[in-house]
Amino acid sequence: MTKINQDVSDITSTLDDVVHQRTRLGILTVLHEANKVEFGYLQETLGLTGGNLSQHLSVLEKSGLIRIEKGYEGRRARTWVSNTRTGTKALRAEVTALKALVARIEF
Amino acid sequence: MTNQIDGSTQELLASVGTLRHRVRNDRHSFWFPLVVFGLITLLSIPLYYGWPMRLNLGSMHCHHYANRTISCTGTGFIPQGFLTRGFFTNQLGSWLSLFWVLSMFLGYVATIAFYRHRAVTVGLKVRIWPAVAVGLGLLILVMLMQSYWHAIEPPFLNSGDFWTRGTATLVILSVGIATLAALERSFWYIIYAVGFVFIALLSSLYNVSNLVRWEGLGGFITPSNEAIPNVILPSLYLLIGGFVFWALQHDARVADDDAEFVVE
Repeated sequence: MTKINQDVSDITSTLDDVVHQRTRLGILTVLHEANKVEFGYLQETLGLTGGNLSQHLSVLEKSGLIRIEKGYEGRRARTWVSNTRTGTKALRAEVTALKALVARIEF
Repeated sequence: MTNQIDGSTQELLASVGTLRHRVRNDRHSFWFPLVVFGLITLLSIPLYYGWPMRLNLGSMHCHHYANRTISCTGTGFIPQGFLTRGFFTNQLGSWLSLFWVLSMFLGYVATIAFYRHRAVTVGLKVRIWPAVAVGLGLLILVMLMQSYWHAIEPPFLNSGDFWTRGTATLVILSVGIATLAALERSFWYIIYAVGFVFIALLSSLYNVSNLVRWEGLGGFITPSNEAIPNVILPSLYLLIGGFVFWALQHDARVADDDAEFVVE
C-alpha cells in the first residue's frame, strides 16, 4: 500500500457512517446554520419526501445528533429540529476529515 | 479508487458549501433592524434643531446637587424632571432622552417581531436575544449611570464631548447591531457593523457639520441646524445599508433557487 493510500485509508476510517451519508450530512449542515429548522424547510431545501426525511431524522435522533420538538404555531402543527452539541461536533469532524481527504489527494 | 474518492469528496464538499450559503441567505434578516433604526434616527432630527444655539451662547449655567435636583440660571432651555432631564446628554435634555428610550425599545420590539415572523414563514429560527439583551441592557445601564452622574456631577460628564451632542444612544445601538452581526455570522455585516460603530462615535465626538463645511456646502448650515448632520449621517448609513443588504439578499435568494443539493 502506498503512503497516499495509507493516509487516505486513515482519514476515511475516521468518518462516521451516520454523518457521512449524504442526506444526513445535508440535514446537519442546514441545522448548523440556524437555531431551529422547521421540518418543511428541510424537506423543501433537500428535496426529500416526508417519509424519507423522517427516516433520516430518526437515525440522527437515535444517535443523539439532533433534537426534535413538536408543537403548534397557532392551529398549525409544527416540527422544529435542531443540532445537539454532539451533532455540531460530529458535523465539524466530518467536514474536517473530508477537507483533509481532498487536500491529501490533491497533494 | 483514489480519483473516485477525490471527485466525489470534492463534489460533496462543494454541495455542503452551496447548502450553507443557501440557508444563510434564507436566514439573514438583518436589513430590517437597519431600516427601522435608520428611520427612528431620521425621525429624531427635529429634536436636534436649535441645539448649538443654546450650547454656543453659553448663557445657561446649571448646577447638579447631590439630592439630584438641578438649578439653572440664564436663558435657554434645560427642562427639569426625571424623564426629561436627559439621560444621554448633559447639554440637550428636553424630550430627546424620552424619544430615544421609547424608540429604542420599540425598535427592538419590531426587530423581534420581524424575526419571529420570518421564523414562522421561512422555517428558520435565529437566536437574536443576545443582541437585544446587549442593546437594551446597555441603554438601561447608561440611563442608571447618567442619573448617578447627574447627581455627583463629575468633571468628565460635563466637559466630555461624548455626552454633549445627544447622540450617545447611537453608540449604544451600534454595539447592539455589532452583536447581531456576530450572531448572524455574516462577514460583510460584521464589517458594516464595525463601520457603524465608527460613524456613531464620530457623530458623538465631532461636529459633522464641519465636514460639510469643508466640502463647500456650508451655506446650508446655520447655528440652529448645526447638530442635524450628526444625526443625518448615521441615519443615512443605516438606511442605505438596510437597502443594500435587502437587495443583495434578494438577488442571492433568486440565484440559490437554481442551485440544488443533490441527495442521492
